[in-house]
Amino acid sequence: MSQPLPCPFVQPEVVRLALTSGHYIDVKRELNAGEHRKVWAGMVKDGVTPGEVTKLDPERVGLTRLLEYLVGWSFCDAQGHPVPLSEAALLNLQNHVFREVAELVDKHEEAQAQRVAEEQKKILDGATGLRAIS
Amino acid sequence: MDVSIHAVTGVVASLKWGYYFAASINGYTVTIRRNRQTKARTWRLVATVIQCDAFKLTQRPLMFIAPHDKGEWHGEIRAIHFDGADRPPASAPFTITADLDGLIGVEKGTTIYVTTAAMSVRSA
Repeated sequence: MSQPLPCPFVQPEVVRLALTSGHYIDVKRELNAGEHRKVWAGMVKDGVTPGEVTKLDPERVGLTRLLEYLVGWSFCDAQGHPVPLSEAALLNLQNHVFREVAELVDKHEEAQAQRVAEEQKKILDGATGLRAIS
Repeated sequence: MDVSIHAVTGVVASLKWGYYFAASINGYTVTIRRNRQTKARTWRLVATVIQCDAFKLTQRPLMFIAPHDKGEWHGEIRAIHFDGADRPPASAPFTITADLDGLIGVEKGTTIYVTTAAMSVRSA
């Protein structure tokens, strides 16, 4: 009996990542193709012209990826009120907190890329019936 | 015979699939009807979609979310029709009619549970 084909669409699953301060961030398990394109398009400065080097906006580099990955967080303001996730709120974080969030998202992205690669390998192994022997 | 017992109306609302926005709504009515014989309640949403992602709108679970003064109304969609069709039209705006599982009003400190069996208020 043949295995069902894997679903090619990203499912909206959330992963919770803990910060050292005890707070947490909720991130998308995986970005879809449209979100990957938005990450790139969001940091391009002055558009893309064929034959010319594309300029990136240094203020947007890294930020657009965080904005696509983040779904929620446990951060509260000084009065203890929960702060909704937004670009403005993200940019008002203390710099070390921002860096920790960015590093967590980096690690999460690497782990997901590895998972996807392993899944692809399993599919290929299954399709050919061959396994690596060394 | 069905009898209308309650209606919730508003302007701003959305349909979400997981964390994704599947549609933005501008104008909605949720009508709660009760069958006189069976006493069963049904929730019917009629709304105008002004922006949507045609793929996400066909995925499940799809949640109707409408903000109000003290929180949000949440209702899971059982079935949805787009201007009478089963697939979303190519362009918005268009009208949807949907059957909801019920409406849950999420407020600060209190959660109002409205189910198909009964209506009750519980402390969160």
